[in-house]
Amino acid sequence: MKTPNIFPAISHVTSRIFSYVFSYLMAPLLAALLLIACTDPSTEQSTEQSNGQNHKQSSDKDPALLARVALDQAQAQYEASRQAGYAWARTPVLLKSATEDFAAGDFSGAASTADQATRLADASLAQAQAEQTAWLDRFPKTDSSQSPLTQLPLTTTPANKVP
Amino acid sequence: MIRRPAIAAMLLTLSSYSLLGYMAAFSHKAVADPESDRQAMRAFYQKRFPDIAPEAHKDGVYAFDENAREQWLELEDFPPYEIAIDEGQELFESPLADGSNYSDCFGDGAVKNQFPYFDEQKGEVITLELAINTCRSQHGDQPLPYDGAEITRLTAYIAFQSRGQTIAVAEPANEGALAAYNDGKRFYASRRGQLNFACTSCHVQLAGNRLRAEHLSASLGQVSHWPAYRLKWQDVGSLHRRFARCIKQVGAEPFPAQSKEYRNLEYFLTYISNGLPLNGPSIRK
Repeated sequence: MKTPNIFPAISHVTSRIFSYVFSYLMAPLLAALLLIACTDPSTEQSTEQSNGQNHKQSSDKDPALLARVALDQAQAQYEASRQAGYAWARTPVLLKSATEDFAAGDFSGAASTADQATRLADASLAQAQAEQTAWLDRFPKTDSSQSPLTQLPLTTTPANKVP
Repeated sequence: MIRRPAIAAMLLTLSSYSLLGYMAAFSHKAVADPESDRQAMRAFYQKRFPDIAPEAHKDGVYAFDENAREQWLELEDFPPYEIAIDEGQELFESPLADGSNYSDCFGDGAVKNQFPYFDEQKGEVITLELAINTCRSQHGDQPLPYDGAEITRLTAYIAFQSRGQTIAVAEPANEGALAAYNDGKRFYASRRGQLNFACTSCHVQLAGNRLRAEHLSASLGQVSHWPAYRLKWQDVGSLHRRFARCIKQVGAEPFPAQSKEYRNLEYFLTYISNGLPLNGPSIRK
């Protein structure tokens, strides 16, 4: 009686297990490690700088100058949103508040409020960009099959009894 | 076995079809003509409010809210805008700087259905308010501020004189008029402000539903009854003042009265309300 050779089968199962372990556990882990290793700390800093946060961390710089920069940036973004026709009502209120803080010598408060204004202006500009084409789908069409408009159901019953 | 060139050809064909389909869909959206828009809007509201004739939307929410309509009709027995009409008549008949008066420009005042229109020479939409100030300038007077009481009283009188006329804006035919119409249409459907709402969010998609305690009106007839005495304002105010209030309510920065944006919006809204009777001035909450 010949003994069956089970080594190829064991070898196959082992290689499958190794393959699964590598695919689902090791590969993502290695990828994550690689990503962390490749991340340049200066990139993080530049991202924050682009958000107008740098003045908070750079205490060695002149706070008045940093607040002035934040205010100018907020003003520029607000003007851009106005030019686009999508300015938000809250932005000039924050800008005014930031300017008053600056005039009162509260540079940290001015910078912080100016950052909020910048973020609002950025969001309104993103809205303007999104609305370039999005508005086209918000009207009923003559052929209702071509209309992507969602007609929301009436949640209240109108009287419908008016003579 | 499929060869690589065959796969490439298939992908190219598929992407071409996708591109063509996208272009067709996009061009369909872009080229919808004003009359198709108007018909589509009427059909939309007829489907949504099957028991209400499109012309009945001249009364706004009072076309479908029975209780509110009763209260509104009671207010109309002694309308608070009457004083504005009387003052408007006085102003209308008062002499301008050169001794003439508004009747030299507007006859007996029953001219509201002639506005707004697109002036090809000036390349812009002319509203009644703009025409009033043009009339004043032609007769040697200073233009009135658009958000002031005087111009609103004049328009209240003209609206009263024009009651019963039918809205009949000429179909935007030339390039400039079509651009102004489409600009107003785009404004009406664009989301704005921190609340990210478009006019269509409330007045198309949610028309007939409630926003807090109030019903939301349909787009049809939104321009028919202005200027209106708003209980909230305790005064007669213009359509553009109402636009500004709506824009502010969604958290956006409003435009000034008679800005190009609002005039184009009025042009679009008035065109789609063609066929409805004018019934201003009116009362609104």
